[in-house]
Amino acid sequence: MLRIERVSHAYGEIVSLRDVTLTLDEGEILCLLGPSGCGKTTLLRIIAGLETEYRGLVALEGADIRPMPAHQRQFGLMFQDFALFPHLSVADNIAYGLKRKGLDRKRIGVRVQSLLERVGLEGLDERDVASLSGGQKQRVALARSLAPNPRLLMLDEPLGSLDAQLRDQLALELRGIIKEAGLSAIYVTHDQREAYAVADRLAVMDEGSVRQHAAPRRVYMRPACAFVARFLGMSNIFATGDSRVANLRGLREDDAWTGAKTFLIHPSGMSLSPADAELAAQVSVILDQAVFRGGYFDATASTAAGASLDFSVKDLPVAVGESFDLWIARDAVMPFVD
Amino acid sequence: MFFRVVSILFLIQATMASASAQEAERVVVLTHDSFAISEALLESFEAQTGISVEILRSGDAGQMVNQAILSKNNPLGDVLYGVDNTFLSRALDASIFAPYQSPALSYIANAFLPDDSFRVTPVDYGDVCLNYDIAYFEESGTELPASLSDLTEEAFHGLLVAQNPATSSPGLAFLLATIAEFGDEGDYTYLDYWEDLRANDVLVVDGWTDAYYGEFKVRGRDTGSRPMVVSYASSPPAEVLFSEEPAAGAITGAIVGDNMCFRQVEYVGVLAGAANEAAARQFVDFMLSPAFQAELPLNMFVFPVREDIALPDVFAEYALIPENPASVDSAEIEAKRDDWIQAWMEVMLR
Amino acid sequence: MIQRARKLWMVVYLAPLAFLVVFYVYPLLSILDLSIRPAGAFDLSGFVKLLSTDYYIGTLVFTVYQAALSTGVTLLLALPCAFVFARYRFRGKSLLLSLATLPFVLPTVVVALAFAALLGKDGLLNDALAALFTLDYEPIQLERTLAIIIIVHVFYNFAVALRIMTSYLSAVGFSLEEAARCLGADELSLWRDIRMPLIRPALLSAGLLVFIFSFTSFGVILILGGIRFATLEVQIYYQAVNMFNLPLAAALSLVQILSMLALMIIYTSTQKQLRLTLASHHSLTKRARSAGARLALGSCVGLIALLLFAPLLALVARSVLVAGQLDFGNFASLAQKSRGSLLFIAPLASVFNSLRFALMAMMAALILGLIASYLIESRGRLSRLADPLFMLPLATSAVTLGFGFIIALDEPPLNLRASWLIIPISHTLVALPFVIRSVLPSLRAIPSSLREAAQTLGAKPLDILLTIDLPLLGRGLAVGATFAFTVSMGEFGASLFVAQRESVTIPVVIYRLIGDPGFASYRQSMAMSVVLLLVCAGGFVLIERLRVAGVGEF
Repeated sequence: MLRIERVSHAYGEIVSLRDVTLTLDEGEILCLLGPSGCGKTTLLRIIAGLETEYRGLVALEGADIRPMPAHQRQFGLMFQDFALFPHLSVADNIAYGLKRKGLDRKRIGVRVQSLLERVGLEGLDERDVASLSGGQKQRVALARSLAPNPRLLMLDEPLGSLDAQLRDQLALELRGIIKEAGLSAIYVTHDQREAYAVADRLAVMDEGSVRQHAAPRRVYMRPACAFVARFLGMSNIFATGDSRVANLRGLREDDAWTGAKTFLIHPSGMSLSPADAELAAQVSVILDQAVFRGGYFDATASTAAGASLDFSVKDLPVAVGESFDLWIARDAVMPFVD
Repeated sequence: MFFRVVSILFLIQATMASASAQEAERVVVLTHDSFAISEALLESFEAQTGISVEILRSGDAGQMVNQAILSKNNPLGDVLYGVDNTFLSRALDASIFAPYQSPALSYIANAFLPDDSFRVTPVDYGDVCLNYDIAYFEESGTELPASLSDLTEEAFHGLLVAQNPATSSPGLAFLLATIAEFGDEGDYTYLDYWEDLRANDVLVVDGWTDAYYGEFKVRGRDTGSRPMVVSYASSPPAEVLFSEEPAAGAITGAIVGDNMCFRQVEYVGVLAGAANEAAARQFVDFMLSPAFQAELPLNMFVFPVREDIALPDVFAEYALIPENPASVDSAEIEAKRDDWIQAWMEVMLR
Repeated sequence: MIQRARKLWMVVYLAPLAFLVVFYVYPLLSILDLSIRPAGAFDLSGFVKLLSTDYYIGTLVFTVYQAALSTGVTLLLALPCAFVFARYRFRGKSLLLSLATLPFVLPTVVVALAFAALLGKDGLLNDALAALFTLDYEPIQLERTLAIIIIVHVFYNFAVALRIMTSYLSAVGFSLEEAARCLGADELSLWRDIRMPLIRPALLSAGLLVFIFSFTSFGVILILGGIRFATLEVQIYYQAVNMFNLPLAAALSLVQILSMLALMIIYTSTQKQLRLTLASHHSLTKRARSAGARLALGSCVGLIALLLFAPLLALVARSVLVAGQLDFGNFASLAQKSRGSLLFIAPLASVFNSLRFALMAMMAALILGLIASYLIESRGRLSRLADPLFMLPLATSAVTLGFGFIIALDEPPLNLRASWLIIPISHTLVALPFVIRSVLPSLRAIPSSLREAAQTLGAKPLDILLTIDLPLLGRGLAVGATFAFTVSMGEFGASLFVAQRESVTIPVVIYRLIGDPGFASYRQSMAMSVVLLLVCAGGFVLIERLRVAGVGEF
């Protein structure tokens, strides 16, 4: 439904977006994932119509919406700081967009009540927004952006200011509410766990560019570049010329390796026994460290050549300091050009 | 709520404005703060002419003239009364007056006319001179000063209070008397004289009221400490008139020796561009009428310019008119006034 | 459509600029013109005279001297109190602090008279002392001394300095001090190493503000000092009105403008250092429990009460007590218009004038100030220029403004000399910086995300202004309105130049009554001052209450 084509934007000298192209399907939740300053908020603002100085195309259902001012787009935007109107009560905040639509009082009242119910804030209508907790504010902000039935909902770090414990649960809850409302949504976050929980598709951004645009599982299993892999917390990334690991990536060199500067050994592609998959290498290592995560181990081992490898395995029948063989699947070795 | 209050206030204002808009013919007299004449007299003028009189006071004579000059494109009044010979040149140079030759001029000595252009008409005059507390001089046996020079003598140490010529009209007049006496160049100028006065502990205050009612000590009043003050030759009759026991005789005296006083003549003129010039002319005639002239002494303590007017008894008895007041040419005053005053301030106020 | 809207905005933005150009820049240029081309030809004799005459140099030196002295005494008194107030809480503290700002909105004529009523020759204190010790002279001889000028300047500025320093100290909190204490700092090193360096920006800022106010003091010095204590302001007035030496007045005005400009530049640069987070640290204040703390607190409260209430009570007492008897005759006489009086109108009619002009000036200043605040916040090319530009009237003395008005606005097409409009216009100009300074912080405090949120919720630009900005600016606007109203009510310097005939305002009437010989006028001026005091306080309270009730009703 939404198409962004070659959008570029700069704040003065600083380029914030570079030829960004993305699409969003009807009813889909797209997650813009990336470190702060990667341009994801700017992209949201361009879509919302809040930024007007940019190059490229923004089209909604095939129609160019670039000249359309923000207040006519009917896109909901939930701000990182929630941007609740401090002079209005909870109910009046939620009703704000409805009033702009010119709805009559009664219908506004009904709609506000049903939204309060949906976000779990029944009975707080007349509360002063300043007196709400962070989680409550987040819900009011969500209810407010949902209220006018937006054609597209955008959420900028909606859980950013909440503590980590709440996030996982709230992220799922958010997804539930968006899906229940049948909305298309763009969700901005820097937290991959949140992104996996919410997104139908992920767009990983860095320095104003989209590095990878795919389903969450695909992004995790097959990061498109070293940046994405690193951003997702993977550490087995080595330079192709690194002699310590020359024996780990297998012998076969195909097209994917021409021009490759680095390669990743995916932490899920290593095992303590030869698996069914085609192998790239078998290497003898000494276990440095192991953490039981409940259901699996995160472990670090080093090779005789001095390379350190992180891997995840279901079972780890070795003690720290002991030596063992590690089997690396060919699939787990991915060359990157960056 | 807020806007309601505001709009109500504006509504009240609008009705007030329309009420004051209905005006009869009137003459606005621009004058100084000391202007005073009886209400009955003004009412008789209004009754006779059908012109209502509004008095607009604008500070002392100097401030009034300056105001009139500053607003000469939009005169604030129709008639200006009270410009005296110390400020006349300034007013004439600024062309704020429209010439008018009153028929009543025939009753006035030609010596009072500043020139033959009829831009202003003399109304009254008064002499600024030293006043003293008779009781003090009788009790202490001190001789009265016979000239201005005497004031620098030890006998008069700490006795005199004078006014700042920058802020007071009698102050300026007295300064002019000292300038007439000692000149502004030579071995001993008026500045040297004032330097000596200062050494002899003369007190300088800003205004006549401060000096006369604040610092001047006279029998029967418990304010002030100095038995000599710069005031008017007509102050002694006023003192008698206002004293609680008028029959007791003179309380203060004026010293009217030769060259010890300075004569101020006050003029009236029709303001150029007056809204109501005809009424303004009538008011000038009115000021020269016997009735008005006769009221001048007891209302403003000045002498009428018309010689055919009899003075009230208290004036005849207690007022002295100096025979040879000091005089300084009006044009010279205008040319040098600011420099004189400034030089004076540098000597006296620092 | 966007293009057209932009053009419309430009026109709206230009309104306050145009106002400033016509009613500020143009009169000031006229002054400049008059000072360097007095008779139409280039002539610097005014300046030569100014700079070569000891007397005028003396005026300048004295202006600086009395301002420095006033600043020193004010800070010396306010600094300890600021520490005490930031430190301790007690019942009625906020009431006292806001009451203490009352002098700031009181007209100079009223304050000058209040002090005359308290400390003057016939003042209450002299009467009381003379009666108590059966003296036949007045023990307190403060009239026309530097001392009374300084005392009144302290009265005016004490609360300003106190508030700046107290709020700064409260924002800074005392955690640093406590940390230093934990590290073994004794009382002396606390003052030397922690407190003084901490308070320095606020001290500097408050000091500069007090200096600026004292530097431009006019009414107080004119009434209580006289020409012997002439500051630049008073000298400008004397030269223009008494001496009619317009070129010299213009030259003096120019010196005044340049000095103030320099002071304002320094002041705004210190303001930047002061921009602290306005988080309140009320929890950090504590109750005064020790005897020493109670004594310190008691002294400060006592000082404020004495400084604030004694002169005002004396004024009220003097206005209603005639020879020891309660007598409201002074007030009754205010309603009468007599030709024998110094005034063209009944004294009470000036109350109506003042109210009318104050309301007009308030409305005009609010509207122009609001637009100007947006212009300043727009971050465009104009805005960098606009901020200091709109502060300029604050840096220009009212006397200079009034003088500029009468020499510039007396010819077509701006022939306002005889019109009463000139008064609300001059008041608007004087009030404008106050409105902008009140609105701007509120405007800056509105996160742009609120407007954007409203926008995404379908709010048109006008909706945003009405439903987001104005309600959130309510407090700032109300504060600005208060300032504009009271500034206009008490405005003296400019009004003295421009108010004419029927349009005289209360302060001008009071001044005229003071100048009139005779006891009745003196009492009338006291009564009139009480009226102005009440009107100002009443206006203050009214707007304060409207503010509380009215937020969100715009």
